[in-house]
Amino acid sequence: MSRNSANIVEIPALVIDPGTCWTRFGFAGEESPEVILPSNYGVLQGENGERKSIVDELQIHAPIPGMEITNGINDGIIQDWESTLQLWNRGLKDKLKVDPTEYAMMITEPSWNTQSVRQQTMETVFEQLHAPAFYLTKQAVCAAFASNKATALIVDLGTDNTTVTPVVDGIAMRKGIVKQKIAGNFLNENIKSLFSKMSINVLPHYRVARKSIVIESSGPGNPEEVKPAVFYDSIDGLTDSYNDFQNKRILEEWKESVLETLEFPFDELKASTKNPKHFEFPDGSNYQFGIDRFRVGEVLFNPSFAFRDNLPENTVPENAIELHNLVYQSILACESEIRSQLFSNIILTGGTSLIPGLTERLQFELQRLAPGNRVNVHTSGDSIYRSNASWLGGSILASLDNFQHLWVSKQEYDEVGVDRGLFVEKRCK
Amino acid sequence: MPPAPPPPPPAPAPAAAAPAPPPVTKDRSALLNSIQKGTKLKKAQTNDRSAPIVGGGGVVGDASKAGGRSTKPSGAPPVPMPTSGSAGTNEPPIPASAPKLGGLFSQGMPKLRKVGNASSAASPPQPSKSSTPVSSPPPPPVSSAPPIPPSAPSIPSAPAPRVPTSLPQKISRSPSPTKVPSSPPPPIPSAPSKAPPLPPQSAPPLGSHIPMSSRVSSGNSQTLPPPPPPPSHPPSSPIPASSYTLQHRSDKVDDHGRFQFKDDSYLPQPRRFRGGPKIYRGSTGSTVPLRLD
Repeated sequence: MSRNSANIVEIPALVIDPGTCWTRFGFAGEESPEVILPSNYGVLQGENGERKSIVDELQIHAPIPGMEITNGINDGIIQDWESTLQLWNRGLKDKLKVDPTEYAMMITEPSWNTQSVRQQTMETVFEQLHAPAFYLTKQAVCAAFASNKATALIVDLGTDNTTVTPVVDGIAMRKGIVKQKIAGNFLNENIKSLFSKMSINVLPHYRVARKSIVIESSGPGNPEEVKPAVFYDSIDGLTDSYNDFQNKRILEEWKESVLETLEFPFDELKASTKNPKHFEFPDGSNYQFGIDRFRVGEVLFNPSFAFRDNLPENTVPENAIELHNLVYQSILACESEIRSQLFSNIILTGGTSLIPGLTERLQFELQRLAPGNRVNVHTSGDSIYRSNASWLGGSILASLDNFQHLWVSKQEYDEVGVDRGLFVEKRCK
Repeated sequence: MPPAPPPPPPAPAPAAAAPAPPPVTKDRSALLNSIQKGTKLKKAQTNDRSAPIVGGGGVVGDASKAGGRSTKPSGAPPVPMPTSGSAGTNEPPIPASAPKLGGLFSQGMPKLRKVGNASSAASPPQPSKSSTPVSSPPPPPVSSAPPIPPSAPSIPSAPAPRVPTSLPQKISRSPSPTKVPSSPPPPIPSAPSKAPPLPPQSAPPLGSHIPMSSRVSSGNSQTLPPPPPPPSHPPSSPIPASSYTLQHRSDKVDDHGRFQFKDDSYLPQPRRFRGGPKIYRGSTGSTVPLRLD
């Protein structure tokens, strides 16, 4: 290993953080990724029956009949390498404008990644991107590093999954990893059922030619004039996946602006004392959300609280438990010596963790569960760091002097031969 | 309530048993130490397609937004980025570079105070009634006029006669003679007769002064505070921002009536100079004269 350190130290590094929703690209040593692209891509069936991938963050929003929107990542793990490679090339060469052959690559992976995918990642980086050096880190470990901690409990609330990973001395404790599918997508289902309960007909952005306009009243007593919205005709042949993708944007906007969690267990009276919030849909129609926005926020802490009536069957996963219980279990699975340190260093990451009130509620519930321990739920100072925490940790790690001897060089890779799977397990902890 | 049994973590296929953490070698502890110490990172411009459209997305630090924005019109008026919870300590290892609107707009877009006048009732009685709401600078020093006259008349009875003498000084400051005729322009309450001579044909220099001259020439008893020295050149709307600065005060002052300047004559007269040796006081508040011999 040491023979490589001389040449590796001089090479600058890139960090790629592939997530279910977004893939982040950037330079190690910088405080944020310069390029963030959606992990989704479009697939179009050509005339000859060949499949054409549309890996373009603008094009995937175009209403093209027959275009399916799909994802190369499933359950957080990279499944489709062809599209992933296309996405990485687009991010690196087109957007970041770098030549991968000149940069060491730091790639992040989920804590539950499989050995075969690890191996494939290494192979792709060396043989397709032709990078000179490579390393693989766990996203949870990166999230801890981003908060300058080597030991922490990472609670990652993402799109598909909520995962809790204990990180001890920079190593993810496998036995403590717990995960469940109560996350962003589950919230989306609940919001959809709320909209249908309120009889709101949601039309996505691409259908709206012009929003409805409210012209202020010319004087007291004169009513406001409302010019109705103008819509484009609906386009035949648009796929369900495309429609879901477009509707998802509206749900994401709703979550970002209206969703909130009560700091205490849900109580109608307490919820009604909070200010309601408005939300304007793409067609200009405005609705006010009062107690219901807290109802939706409650489902993370109580999945059975969900809007059961309108939810499609089997949306609530079996064995789903409350967020605080999930966290508690993860801690209990670790040795007792480390537990108090984990309790006092809980870090929230992931886009779904940005819900206002969530941190306080988790703190409250956990403290109730574990009154003897000092519970401390940390949050980054800024929302941009929360969703980019794993990229950030990768950036920090790759730029440290003390790390440089750990890179896997092309030379080493060439010498390994067949046992690459074991090799990557051993080298990239 | 007892928690349900945990959903099993998916079992990856490790070649060996779950790897035990490596013994903490010197290298490793050095690495962990440097992580805990923190490292300074460089700021970066982020082309963030994932950020909410309102007030956070696009290229950070770059005013131009890529064409992609047009496919994502915003649906939500309030800016979505909530501020972080504060249950624990905030430990941003690095300074933030993103345009942190944070929770700035969480209450919706702020309603900006209309410039120049707090009372909404007084709309500028300009001859050209603008249909646009008062959002641009030419505003109503005019509309602030009505409150002034009641107080003004009580003052000028004494200084009024001095007005003609003090004004010419101001006049000389301004390079343009057209606006300032021999007669003093400021329509002080006690001298409304002098007001009409103000040549109405003087090029209305700025939108804000039009009402002044028109009012003056209409000879109504509405009195206005003495205007600051008139600007030197014809109007170019909108008023350049430089006109608001103190540097240009003397040239084209347009302060929207926020400051009600009075003529110098309103100031009290200084003490008469008597000359002779000055007698100082012994100490603060003492009436005993100071003797230093």
